[in-house]
Amino acid sequence: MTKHEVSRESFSRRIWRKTWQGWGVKLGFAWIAVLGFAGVFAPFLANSMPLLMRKDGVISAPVLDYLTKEDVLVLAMFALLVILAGVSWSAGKRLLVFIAGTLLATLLINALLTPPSVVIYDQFRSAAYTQVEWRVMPPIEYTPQDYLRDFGDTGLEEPLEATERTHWMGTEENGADVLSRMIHASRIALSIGLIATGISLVIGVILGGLMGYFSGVIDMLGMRLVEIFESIPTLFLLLTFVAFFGRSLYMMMIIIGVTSWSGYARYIRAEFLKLRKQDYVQAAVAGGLPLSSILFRHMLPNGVAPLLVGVSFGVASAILAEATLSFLGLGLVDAPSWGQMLNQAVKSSLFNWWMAVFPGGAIFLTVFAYNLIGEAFRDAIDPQLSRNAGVNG
Amino acid sequence: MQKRLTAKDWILYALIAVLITLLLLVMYQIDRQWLRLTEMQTALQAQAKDMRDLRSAVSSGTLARSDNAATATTTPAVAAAFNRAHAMTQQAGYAQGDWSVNAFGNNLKTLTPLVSTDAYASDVQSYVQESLITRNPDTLEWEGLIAKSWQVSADGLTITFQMRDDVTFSDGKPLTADDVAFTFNFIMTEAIQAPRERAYLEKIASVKANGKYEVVFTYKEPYFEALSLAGGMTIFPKHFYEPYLKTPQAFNESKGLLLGSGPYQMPDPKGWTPDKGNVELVRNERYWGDVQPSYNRILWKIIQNDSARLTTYRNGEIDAYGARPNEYADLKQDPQMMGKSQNFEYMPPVAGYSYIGWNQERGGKPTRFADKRVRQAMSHLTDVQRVIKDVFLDYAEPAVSPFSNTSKQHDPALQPYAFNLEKAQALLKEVGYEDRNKDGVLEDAAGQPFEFKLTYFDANEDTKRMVLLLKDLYAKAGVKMIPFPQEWPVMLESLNKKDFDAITLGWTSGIETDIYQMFHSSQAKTDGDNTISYKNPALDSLIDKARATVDEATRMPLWQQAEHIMYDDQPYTFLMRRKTLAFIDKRIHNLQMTKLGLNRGLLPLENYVPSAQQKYQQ
Repeated sequence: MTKHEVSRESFSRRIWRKTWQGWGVKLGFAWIAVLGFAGVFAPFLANSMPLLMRKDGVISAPVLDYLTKEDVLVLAMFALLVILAGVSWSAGKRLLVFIAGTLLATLLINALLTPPSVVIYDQFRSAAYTQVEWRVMPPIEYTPQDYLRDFGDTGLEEPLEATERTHWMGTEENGADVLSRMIHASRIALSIGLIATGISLVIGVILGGLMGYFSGVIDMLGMRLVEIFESIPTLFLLLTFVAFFGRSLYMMMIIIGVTSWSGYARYIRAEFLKLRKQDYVQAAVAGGLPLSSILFRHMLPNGVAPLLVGVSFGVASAILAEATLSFLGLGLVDAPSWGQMLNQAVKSSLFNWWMAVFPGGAIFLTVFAYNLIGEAFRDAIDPQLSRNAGVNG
Repeated sequence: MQKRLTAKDWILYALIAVLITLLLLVMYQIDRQWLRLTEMQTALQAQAKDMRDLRSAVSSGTLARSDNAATATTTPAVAAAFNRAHAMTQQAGYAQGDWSVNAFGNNLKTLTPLVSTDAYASDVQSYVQESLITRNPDTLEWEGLIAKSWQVSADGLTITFQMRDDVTFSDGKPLTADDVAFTFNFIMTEAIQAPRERAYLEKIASVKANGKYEVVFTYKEPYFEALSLAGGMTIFPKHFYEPYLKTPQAFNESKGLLLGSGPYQMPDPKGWTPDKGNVELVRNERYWGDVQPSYNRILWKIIQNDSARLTTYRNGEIDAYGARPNEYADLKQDPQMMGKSQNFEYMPPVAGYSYIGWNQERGGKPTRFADKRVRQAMSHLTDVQRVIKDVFLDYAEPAVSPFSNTSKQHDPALQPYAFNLEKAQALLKEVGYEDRNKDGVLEDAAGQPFEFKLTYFDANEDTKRMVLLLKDLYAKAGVKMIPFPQEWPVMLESLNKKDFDAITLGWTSGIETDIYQMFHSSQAKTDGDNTISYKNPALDSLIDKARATVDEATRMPLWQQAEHIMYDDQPYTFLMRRKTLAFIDKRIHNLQMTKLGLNRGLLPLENYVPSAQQKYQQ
């Protein structure tokens, strides 16, 4: 005779516990954490200017003077995350505060910060910055856009080939340091993954929720819309936009976001179709609650779990889309990106192994990490779907 | 009762399947036979026709058999234009046969002459259609090809050509003065889409056939290139193109209407379409020339990617590869590459130049580049020497003006603008640029920052590297340049609309460069090639004067004066002329340097493959 034990664990906590069982998912999160760290603190890890220096008795931090608006915004968002992690609020409240804080930070930074818009990197190797009492340099002494013009043509040197400079991963075709570009490229990869997925998540949840809740005609129309958007080839759309409107990271994010919400809409619709006749939803309707409250406060928290799976795979595919675009030579011009560096590996007549191994490895590991996380979430949420790929030990 | 498949059924189905397959195969085979038969039939018809012509010629007595056996040992008379080709046929290893295989880096839109705009199509057309005269590669003098002789009137307004009477098109029809006159009238027909050719031929008042083998060009006004314009016009067969005067739209939208008198012909003069990919020309068996061409076929493959083109060349599937500067030295050290190639590194005398064009007018308003001093400052900031050293690894020379450094149009006293930061800063300060808000970028009096987009073609890696280098150089003076890569069609669109800040591109040049197209203010109109809206009355009058001066001794100083004005004005920042770095398969013999560059692709054809090294049959 077994007794039924009533689990006191909340749904989300249980899913989290089940997800966190395997070693694969731990590796995945570890790699994402490394990338996150590199992305947030990139200016302090790889930069041509001293972090701190003392000249003529005055201590200054040139790095802070040259921080761009994006750098400051990323740091502010990171600080906000750390603060929110320490507060015991509900997840929804945290999310709202985070979004509001980010918007506020963006406005403030745009209004107050005027970073220099043209930087000459050679000057940091001139007497004004080298003849000092003491100075602290970043671990990698080169900015990704520092093409070492003062050394002449330094393009495509193998790792540690140069004698007077140290390039742990060699230089790319214009002479910039590859490791520095790798570190700064992690920011592009992560941000395009997260923002594009964020956009598609918002669209997908709202449309999918409405479709699932109302069903009938709205569902019919919505599903046709989903099918239309599923038939848009994202990559070709990106290529077309690049050809006609120039190259911009934000444009890429928006296009990837706007074209890839259909999967999330399908997930949410299926969940809501299941939930709409449940007692607590009927009770909420009978209680005369407004639609937004029914959808987002009562139904969504119970239907959000399957989304975690889609999101992890979605981030991976967004990163791949950007890498593909850059690999085709249609990415950003001189902003560092893994795909663009991979492109240079096969460009010249010789095979430059360091241009293939490091960026290619980074793309592989990142996409692999997100896929591992996605698998783990899927196994935890839906045991029937589980392929039991050994992700959950 | 349930229907079930039994073994018997299986056998039946298998038999039916086999039967159907066999039927299909038989159909396919019969189809092949038919195609083969049609080929043989057309060949036979052509030969029968030639035989008939020969018979009628013999019976009418125009062809007398030479009874004197001694004449057979003397060399046959060869027209001057064929002298070099004839000398090649006398070499010990000379043999006919094999193919010439080349690569194009882009898809062709159309092969129809006049309608096509790219260099690739004109490359193909040069093997198929011919003109009255051609340049001698050694002396650069004009020699008769279809024309035997010509006279220019004292006032330079009429040119009379006497033509050879033995020239036929590849379909066997004779080429007469009527065809020449027709060509001119065809191009001048407004409905035919040939704006660029029309712009030049507008100087001609009329072209009249004077009898069967004499044609007279009459000019409206003197023009210094009158002879090359008239004699260089490729001749269209009247019987082939005339129907399209009734349906010009069909001609303008056609993909491959190509027939002429040249040494090669399209297998089907109306049938080529871009989806065929490759372009293939076969020998014109009826070629009228004094020397028959050596290759059986000329083939162009479409290979868009640089690395793929190199691999294809390494595998011996194409005959030539033009290397990028940064791979050239490595490839020269590569034993596999050098084992199969002869390599040529030379500055073509007709090398085009690259430039940065500063757009002086947008939306009817003058831009910041309308001020001469700003353009001079930009030229001083553009360190061409360094671009040549770092990006093109010294395989280029600085350009001073549109005129090649070796041409008589160029004044050797002019030196290229040197990199001079102080001078550039002083010039910009004079105009009123200062860093007013200490953000590292100069602002003008109105507080507008000095930043601009530099448009460039995105598929060219070396250009991209150059643009990034220039960005860093301009930054030194506080000028913010934003690299703006664009695809070719989009770029051409913005050129036509004159919708850009600055653009970097190149112009091809000839032996003597006519700059009317790019710098004359009348060409700043829509679709004109003066895309930067540069207007200078002094230069206009010099260009007009020079073009109307037929006498070279008085014309050259005029060009030099024009050059001085452009040097001072810097409508373009002239960058450089690049060397050709070519690897060519060792099979190809008799490659020589001429004053027009390497003789590969010159016509009449001057290369051959000895029979021992021939790769392709048929």
